[in-house]
Amino acid sequence: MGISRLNKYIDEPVALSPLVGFRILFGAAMVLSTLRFIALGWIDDHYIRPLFHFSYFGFSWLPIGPDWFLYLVHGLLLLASLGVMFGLYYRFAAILQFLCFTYTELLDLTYYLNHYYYVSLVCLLLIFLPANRSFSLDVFWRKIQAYSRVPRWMPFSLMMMMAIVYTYAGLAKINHDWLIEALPLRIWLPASYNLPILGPLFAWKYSPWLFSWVGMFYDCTIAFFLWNRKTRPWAYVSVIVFHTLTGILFQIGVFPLVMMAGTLIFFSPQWHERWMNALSRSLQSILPKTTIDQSIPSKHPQPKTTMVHGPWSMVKLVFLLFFCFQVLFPLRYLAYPGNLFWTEEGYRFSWRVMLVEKAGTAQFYISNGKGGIKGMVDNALHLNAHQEKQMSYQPDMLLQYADYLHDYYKNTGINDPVVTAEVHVTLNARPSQLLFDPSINLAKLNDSWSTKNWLNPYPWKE
Amino acid sequence: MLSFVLLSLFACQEKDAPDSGNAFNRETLLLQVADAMILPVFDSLALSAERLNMQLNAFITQPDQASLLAAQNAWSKAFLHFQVARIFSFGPSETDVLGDLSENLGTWPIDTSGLESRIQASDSNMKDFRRDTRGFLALEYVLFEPQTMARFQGPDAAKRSRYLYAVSSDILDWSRRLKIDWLAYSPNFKKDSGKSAGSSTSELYNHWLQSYELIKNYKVALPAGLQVGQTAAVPSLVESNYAHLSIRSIKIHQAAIEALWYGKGMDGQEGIGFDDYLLKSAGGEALRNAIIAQWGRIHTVLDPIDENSKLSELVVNEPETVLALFTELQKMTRYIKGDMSSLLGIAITYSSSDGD
Repeated sequence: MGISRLNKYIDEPVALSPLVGFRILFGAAMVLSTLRFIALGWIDDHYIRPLFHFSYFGFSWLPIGPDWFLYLVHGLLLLASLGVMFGLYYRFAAILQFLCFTYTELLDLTYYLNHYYYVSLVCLLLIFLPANRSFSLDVFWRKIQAYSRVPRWMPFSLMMMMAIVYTYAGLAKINHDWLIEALPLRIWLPASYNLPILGPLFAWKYSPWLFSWVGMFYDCTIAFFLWNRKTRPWAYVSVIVFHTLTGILFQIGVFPLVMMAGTLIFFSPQWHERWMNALSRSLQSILPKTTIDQSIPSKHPQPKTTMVHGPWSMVKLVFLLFFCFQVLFPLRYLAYPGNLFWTEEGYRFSWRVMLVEKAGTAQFYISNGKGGIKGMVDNALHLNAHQEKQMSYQPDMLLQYADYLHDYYKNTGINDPVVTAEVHVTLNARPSQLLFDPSINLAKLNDSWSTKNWLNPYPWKE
Repeated sequence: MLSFVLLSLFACQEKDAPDSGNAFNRETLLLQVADAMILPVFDSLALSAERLNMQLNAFITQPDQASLLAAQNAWSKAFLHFQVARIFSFGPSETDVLGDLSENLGTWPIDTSGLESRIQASDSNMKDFRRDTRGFLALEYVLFEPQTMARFQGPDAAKRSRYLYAVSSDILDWSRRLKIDWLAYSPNFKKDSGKSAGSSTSELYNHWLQSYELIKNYKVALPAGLQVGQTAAVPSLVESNYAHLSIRSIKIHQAAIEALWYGKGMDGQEGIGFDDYLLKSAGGEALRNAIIAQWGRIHTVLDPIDENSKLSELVVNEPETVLALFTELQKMTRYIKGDMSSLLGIAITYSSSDGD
């Protein structure tokens, strides 16, 4: 297919309804997720109480606001997500949703999750997609132009995002530990032996291998099966089974729900129209007559307007660059020597979800560098349990913590403190080993994109 | 589809009793810890706190050398029982807003001038955040400092007695309440065999580890001057600065930490412990052996130290012994912190992890 034919193909008008369905479900998932975050007291635990926050590379300048501001940001996120869900002041709501969510994510690297990254990216895409042009309060109340058809690349971009997540998650599973050793599932699965009904399955000797292989094939292929109309219903059944299982097995919050809702983007326009019609019928029975609008497809002639392309060509180009980045960025690990699981160079933002069981023990020492006593640091005085756990095995976080300790103890009167650490890391049940030479003054090292030469080589048999 | 078939197959095989199959049955661990350790420990603590309170009353009523000695002995017993109980500073032991059991009854160093001014001001409020003026080590100061007898026979005797009585009553209240509360809570503790953060196993593991770090970082490293900012040993920072029970406290606390790992009850009988849990984990046997070897190395340093010797003198006169002890304790952390948490397959923090 030549470029011009491809261009024509992705510009072809298709039904808007899958995009609209996605907007509603994604908005609802964001509302739930934000409410859960607030209800669990995580604003306080994650952002207010810690004395120190780990920053993302290049974002150390980002200020963490006062307590009231953090609550305000989450309040705004809630409103914005409602706005997206109902399609009210949609563009503004989508921008606000993206900014609020991404801001809180960027505040502390400790809480990085691939799914939060996915949510952030989808929030960004939604800003540019006209998902409010049907079945929305913008169309009904604010009388903005309704559309029934949009260029194919618009719904396609959300499918593409989903396909990238799954496929890279699947490709990452093609490694010796996952497939041959059935690790980490050999550690994780038996721990759930006592769940009702499923427990005996998890405790079965061969289940780790079964789950490892099925998981790998599932992730690698599910996007294609969802794409194909014939396999879609069965593929979606497997989405439900898979995410229900991971939801039961692991402490992963609302993510199974987000994925089960998100994969519906692959469903046909008719299917989306059906459930939205059903929803509108039930809304008709609840709401006063006047609130039913022509943007709701049921019983009303659908507006046949197709979105014009003109102003969108620029957005299309930006989307193209965005997806080039999304395809290439997870592959950056190839540019680094050494074992990815050990050095973590290129590990994040690459859809490596629940891939390894890794933990560390980090004992930091401070000295004045002039032969004085090497004082030990009690991490619990500086970090919360989650921060300590994450810091203890991730090289860039270890450096940030060392920097923080340097400044902290300098302020207590130690002149130019030397910061050293004994960091033992275990990976997939292997006996822990030193991550780097304990005599290195970490305060003198800077984090960068270049290879972390100060790390010891991968210590186990490859 | 394969997983569907298997699911239904296994669903049919479900029995009433949980079958752990290839996995470690956490209920057996919780059962052993609750019945053979926690409940007997809180029994002993309550009993020794009653005796302590009684002896203190006798001393207050008639302050002489004999009654003081009896009170001091009662204090020592209760204090040492507390070293085992403080490991279990979760569940009913951490419902108080002022802090958990270990913090409320075991804080040191004591703010002696603050405590003296509270005595002078007849301020015996035990419900505040001034935990360094109450608990076992506040009692130790009042009972064991060199002027004790003179002060209890002097003009401030009444004020001193009131304060002593208030601290002792607070300890007694805690001990009585925890005996009852743990008895009531233990069925839930045993039943909650899940693996999420906040489950019994997760709480037990986290607090066991914290208690171990208390020995290493505070009972040993702090007086030895090994913490950041310290430039030399500080003998006055030993846990038991007046009764000189610091070494015994370390030994008993360490033995209890180890006993819990082996699943050894207060009666000395060995049952299911974390060692058995590790045996059922992938890669767990090597770790179990490494931990056993390291307990051994800790003992080679700790055992030769005379339990009646004074840690406050040891940190000055034999710093190399204390450093060797700290080093061996420190070597254990990588095994029981990173490695062990990794193999247990339980969540040790509350936030969502990265799932797919």
